[in-house]
Amino acid sequence: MAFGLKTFSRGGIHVDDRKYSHESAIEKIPAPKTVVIPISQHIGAPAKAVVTKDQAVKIGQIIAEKSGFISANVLSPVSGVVKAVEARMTPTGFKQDCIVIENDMKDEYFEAFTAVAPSAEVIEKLDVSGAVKAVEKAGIVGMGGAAFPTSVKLSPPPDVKIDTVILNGVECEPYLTADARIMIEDAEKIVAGLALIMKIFSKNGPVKGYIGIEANKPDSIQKMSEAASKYKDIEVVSLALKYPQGGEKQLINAIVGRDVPSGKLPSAVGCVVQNVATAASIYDAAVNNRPLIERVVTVTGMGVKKQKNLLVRFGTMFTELIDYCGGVTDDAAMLICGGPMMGKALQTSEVPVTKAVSGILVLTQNEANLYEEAPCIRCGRCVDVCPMGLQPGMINKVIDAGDYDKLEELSLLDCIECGSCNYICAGHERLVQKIKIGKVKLQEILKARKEKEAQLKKEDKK
Amino acid sequence: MEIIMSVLVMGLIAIVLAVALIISSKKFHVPENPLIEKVASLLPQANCGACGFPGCAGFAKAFVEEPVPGMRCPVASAEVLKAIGEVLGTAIGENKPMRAVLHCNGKHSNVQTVSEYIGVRSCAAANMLYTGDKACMYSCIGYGDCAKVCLFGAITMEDGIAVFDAEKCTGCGLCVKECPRKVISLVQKRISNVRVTCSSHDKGPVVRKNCKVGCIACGKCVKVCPKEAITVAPGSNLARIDDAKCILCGKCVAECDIMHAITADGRVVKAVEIIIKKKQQEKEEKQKAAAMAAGAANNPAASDTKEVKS
Amino acid sequence: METKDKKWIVGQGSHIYFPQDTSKIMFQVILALLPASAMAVYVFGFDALKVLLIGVISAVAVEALIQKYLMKTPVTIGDYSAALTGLLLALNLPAGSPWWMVCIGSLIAIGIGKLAYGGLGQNPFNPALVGRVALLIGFPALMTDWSVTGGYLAELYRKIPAEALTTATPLGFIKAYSGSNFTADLVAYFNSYSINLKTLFIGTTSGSIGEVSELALLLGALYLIYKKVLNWEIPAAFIGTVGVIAMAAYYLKPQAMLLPHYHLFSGGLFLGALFMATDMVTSPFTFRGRIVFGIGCGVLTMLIRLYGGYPEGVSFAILLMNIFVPIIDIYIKPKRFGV
Repeated sequence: MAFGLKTFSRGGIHVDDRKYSHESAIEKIPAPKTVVIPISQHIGAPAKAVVTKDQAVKIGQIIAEKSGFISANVLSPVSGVVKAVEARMTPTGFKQDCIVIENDMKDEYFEAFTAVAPSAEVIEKLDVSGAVKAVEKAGIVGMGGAAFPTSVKLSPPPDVKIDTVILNGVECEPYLTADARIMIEDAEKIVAGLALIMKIFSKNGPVKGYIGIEANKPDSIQKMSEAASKYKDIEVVSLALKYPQGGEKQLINAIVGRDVPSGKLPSAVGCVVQNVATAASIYDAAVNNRPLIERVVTVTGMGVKKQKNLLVRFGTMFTELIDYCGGVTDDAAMLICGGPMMGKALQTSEVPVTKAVSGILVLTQNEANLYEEAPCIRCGRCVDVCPMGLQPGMINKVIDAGDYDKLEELSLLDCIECGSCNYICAGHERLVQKIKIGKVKLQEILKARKEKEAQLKKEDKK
Repeated sequence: MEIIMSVLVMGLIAIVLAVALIISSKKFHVPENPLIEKVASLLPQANCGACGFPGCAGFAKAFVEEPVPGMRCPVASAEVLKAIGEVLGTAIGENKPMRAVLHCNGKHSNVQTVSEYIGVRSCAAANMLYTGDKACMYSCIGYGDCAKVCLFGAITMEDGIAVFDAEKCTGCGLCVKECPRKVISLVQKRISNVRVTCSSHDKGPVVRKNCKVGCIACGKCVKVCPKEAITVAPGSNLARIDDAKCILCGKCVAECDIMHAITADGRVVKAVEIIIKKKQQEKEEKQKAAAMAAGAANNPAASDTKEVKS
Repeated sequence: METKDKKWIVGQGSHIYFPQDTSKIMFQVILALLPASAMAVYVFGFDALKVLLIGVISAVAVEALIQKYLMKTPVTIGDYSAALTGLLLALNLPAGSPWWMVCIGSLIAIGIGKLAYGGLGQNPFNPALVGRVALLIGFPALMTDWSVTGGYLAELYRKIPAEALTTATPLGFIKAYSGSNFTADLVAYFNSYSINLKTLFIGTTSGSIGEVSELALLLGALYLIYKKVLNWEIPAAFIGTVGVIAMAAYYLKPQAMLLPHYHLFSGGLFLGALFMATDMVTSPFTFRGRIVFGIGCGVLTMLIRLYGGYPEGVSFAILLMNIFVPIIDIYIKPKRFGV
């Protein structure tokens, strides 16, 4: 751990990074015979399917249209025939409507695309007025796992001024190395994407660009610094190893020292944060008209025979990727979509890769440190590590007691569900799960109160 | 001497305090309608909140001061209602006793377990996270949220699902609200209750793979019911009994002999056994008759057909 | 096993856990108390070993029996918390404690101080202190009987008559003092018991078996700080406050007060500040709350030492501050991000 590196000011934990797949170069795996595409792969309103059974589709064709402001298009990653539109199991843990397409293996694209290599000159000459529309058409969402529709992030309300764009190359979650490899292998494209985003916002004033990378990736830092040196106003910042360095608010706090106020978005302090893979996709969509049809997924953990980074078409089943890496070991115990801190544990590997899947983690029982719950001993470590300054132990006690009214004063809605409290808890309380339950109960209470106030107002008027 | 002094002093303090308490209880007395207290003392004192008011005292206050049509105490017995009616000088309507029934039979012995759950042991929590550790995603999750909320001890967890005690159940409805899968419903308490113990909307083959006792919506029960009380709504893949029309004959229970997805309790069980025995007898007689007819056909002496099988 | 047929484990939250959990923490604290226990046996002899063993065994037995037969809940002696409470209670007792007194102390500490509130994590008061204070009030003579029959001190105290042994601790001497020439009498007293700063620090003086050796206690505390188990802010605030008040008292009335460093190294201050006040269950949640807790303990300790009826105020001070912990938790919240 190097002293003197920037990091965020509150809380945080030190987890060993277990980057077993860091040296494995990205391998492109062949497209599968059948793809399953959920029509809701993003935050916001689900898209609406616009194809029907037996319809022929090509790569990049819109098979589900965005509906509503916060929504995104879903494109076909293969060319072939639509077999069905039905409910299938997805990495959300529930069955959702999916479009099942049979691949004719011909890889025919719906629209032509170019292959302009990224450079500072390309961005300078580019007319960005159509860029946001291109991003929207390509269905790009945040590829770091949150899957927020990028076109919405790139079009803030007119009274909001953005002067800083930060790229999140931190990858603070243990095990995951997709972003690290993309930064080594595709540095130019990422930095060009950042310059493009900066140009979009520069009509309101000068914009500075930063790329935050944790110090455990010296080769990524070196490649990105080389690429960034060709642009002005772009700086690569080495950050100290601390989880959750990659959280939006923590990243902004570490790099530019601004605090996003509670309940507000980063745009409130003039910042926009994007994942490095998203930036590369933005470049491809805006400059080369390439649709978003594939992504890098890290398949790792001691529960798979080999740990690799794979370039995967959307709709490929997890089972296929795990089998490509040699299959599961005998002591594999948990299958997680994402990282070990915030990822989602799944009950079956027969789920498709979506835009939000950054890694597939197969943990053995030893790695996962599975424990039974013990009583809370009020050690207070959860309070010490919470990056948002909350009291998870108190929330745990309140929810166990059923005292949901007290949740309001505990600022529950600030929680970013990073899992630091869950990790450090001496009694192995299921803190994140309790906090999620608490958030639901709190929303119920707030909703009931609003309805009562509205009813009282109506009666007053009478 | 000292003993007398201490007794006198203590006695004096006691008298002073008692007088102070009497004065303050009279001075700061909150005038309340005496009827409220009478009604409150007659109520079941369970403080379950099923009526929607804070406890029996809260219900009594609201009922005496501002009665709203439809207000009822679901837990009170008929005698209690009559007594309340006498106190208030009005007649109170009938309270049909209800009970809760579970529309699932997904015990661990019937349904496969597909994952091991290590999160918070609550049905609501598991339901928020994924489709549960049982193969069927409509099943009773079995971690006991309903048992925790039942104030009358009528629910116990056995072999992975909830078991309801009809005697203890007062039909208050708290478990119905609590269940995240909505597999509990309130029906009228009768000598028996016939119900479809499945809530799965999956198609037949899927249900058969997941569970030994699920409803595959084959429709045999619909055909046998003399009162058209059991129906399969189109697209739902699930049979449902309309309790108002059901006459407790038990025919549907006997007819569902592949999956056994319809359950009865109480006296109807006997009726179902009789029906099953009768069906068995009829089948045997038919088989005997068919065997005799086949035997006659093969016996040349008794046959008068000209065709001879070689 | 085919990948798609495998049965997985599903949970929510972070799926990896920091390996240092409750039973490991308790065990590490027990390890940290071993230097003090070893010193106790050296200074007080076989009696101290007897008290220590009976303390630990009776505490574990009480918890096992009550949980199995009275509460009918799973027996949790495997998390070492009962053993730790028993050890702490034993360290707070004089060497000559009879075995039945130790057992009663364990019964009260575990049965009332911990299990009656619902078990681990639910008790508002430090269980070992509940036991010790109950014994102090119930058996005051036995609890201040500093006579020794073995160990280093037995040699040292052979010349001192038995009745004089109640003032064997400096704080005891001061509380019982009614003469007119304080400084001279104090020097004479120190000489007769060969008390000086060095012996107070190393521990070859009298007192309860765990509190005498500040050196051993410090070693244990440093080990816990290294393992990141000890919340150092409570001992720092506690001992710091006691030092400041002792300095002020000495400055104001030098002819009737102990020098400040004698206040620091006499009595149960180090044992209380390092191992009793820092008990996680009964101390506040937040950093600033713990500082307030430590300062409060220090103030109350000095109040009792200077003006109260008991010579040593650490146990009462900590129990009194335990009462305030819920209020401290309500009013002192951590600083939120972005507010």
